[in-house]
Amino acid sequence: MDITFAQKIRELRNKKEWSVYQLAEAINKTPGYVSKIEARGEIPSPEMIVKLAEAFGTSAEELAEIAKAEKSAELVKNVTKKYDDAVVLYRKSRKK
Amino acid sequence: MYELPRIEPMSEQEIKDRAHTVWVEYVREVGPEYVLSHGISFDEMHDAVIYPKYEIIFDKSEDLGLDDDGVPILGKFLPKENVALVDRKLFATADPRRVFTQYHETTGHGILHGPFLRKSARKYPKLCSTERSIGLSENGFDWKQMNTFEWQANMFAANVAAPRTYVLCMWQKLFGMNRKLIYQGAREYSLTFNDKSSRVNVHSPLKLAWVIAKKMQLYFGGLSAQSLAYQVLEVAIDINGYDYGDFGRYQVVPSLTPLSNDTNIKE
Repeated sequence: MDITFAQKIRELRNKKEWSVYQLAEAINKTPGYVSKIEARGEIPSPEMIVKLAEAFGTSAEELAEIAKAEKSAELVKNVTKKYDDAVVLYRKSRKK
Repeated sequence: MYELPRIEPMSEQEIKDRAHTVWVEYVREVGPEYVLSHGISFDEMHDAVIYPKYEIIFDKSEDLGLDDDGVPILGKFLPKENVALVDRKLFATADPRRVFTQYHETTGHGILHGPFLRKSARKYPKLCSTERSIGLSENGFDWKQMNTFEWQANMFAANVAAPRTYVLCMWQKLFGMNRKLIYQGAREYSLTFNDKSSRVNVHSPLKLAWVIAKKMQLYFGGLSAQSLAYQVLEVAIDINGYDYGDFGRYQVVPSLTPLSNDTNIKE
């Protein structure tokens, strides 16, 4: 994954020379909502991805691809962790 | 150790006033009713003001390791990148210093010092690189070892995390008080919290402030009672009203209601 969704949104916003407040206004959300996407790395709903793409005048497909890749990577990470934890628990129980 | 840039001097009042503007912005964003019922939380402060207005990114994913003296680094601020880092261990162990460190790095260094540090980048190139950043180690909490830079950041952070106006508001709301509590030396004090009375034995004004802070803590997003106590001491306790030379003149204030309009009661 080359770029995260948060980084992409920040990059597009900076290209437009918009403040967080201006982006929030453009998508009809609060600045806190934009903070959650840009600073906390939260992925918005597909409808909101379309709205963001429209606000930036960019392709919704490209944004959705980045979001999908990030979500998939997160999912793989979570599943891997769960399996690793399960193996550790199994080995512990065998030792007893 | 590396040389810190000579920061412009600021009075305590000046720092408090600047911190107050951050607090006002926060209340404006989330609404006064919400703050009154839910209290202040760092995450909300970050989302509502610290990021939108100052674009400071907060990162708690890194292990910051040790400083040159082998002391654990709790937090760092990277001026060029405008990123505040807080050691991930503080989150894993629910360390009581966690919330204050978050405010210290993001608001103290980020908001108060950020523009100055970026301006100084040409003069102090090493400071504004990733390797050299403004850091807070465990020693940073020791007042004797604290430099002006850290002192300013701490003062600013304390006033954003626990603004005096809000502490006063909670003092009135939770304890039903409309005036300062007069410290009358080491003794038993009666406190009415949420309409329930309790008695506490304290040996210092700070300890009394700590007891009050412990009860208010819930409204300050996990800020430690120790950090909150300093603000409570300023807002809710009158230590000047205690006549150390003539203790007998003062009456006990069990109900915590004013004995008269004049707090310096004279016979």
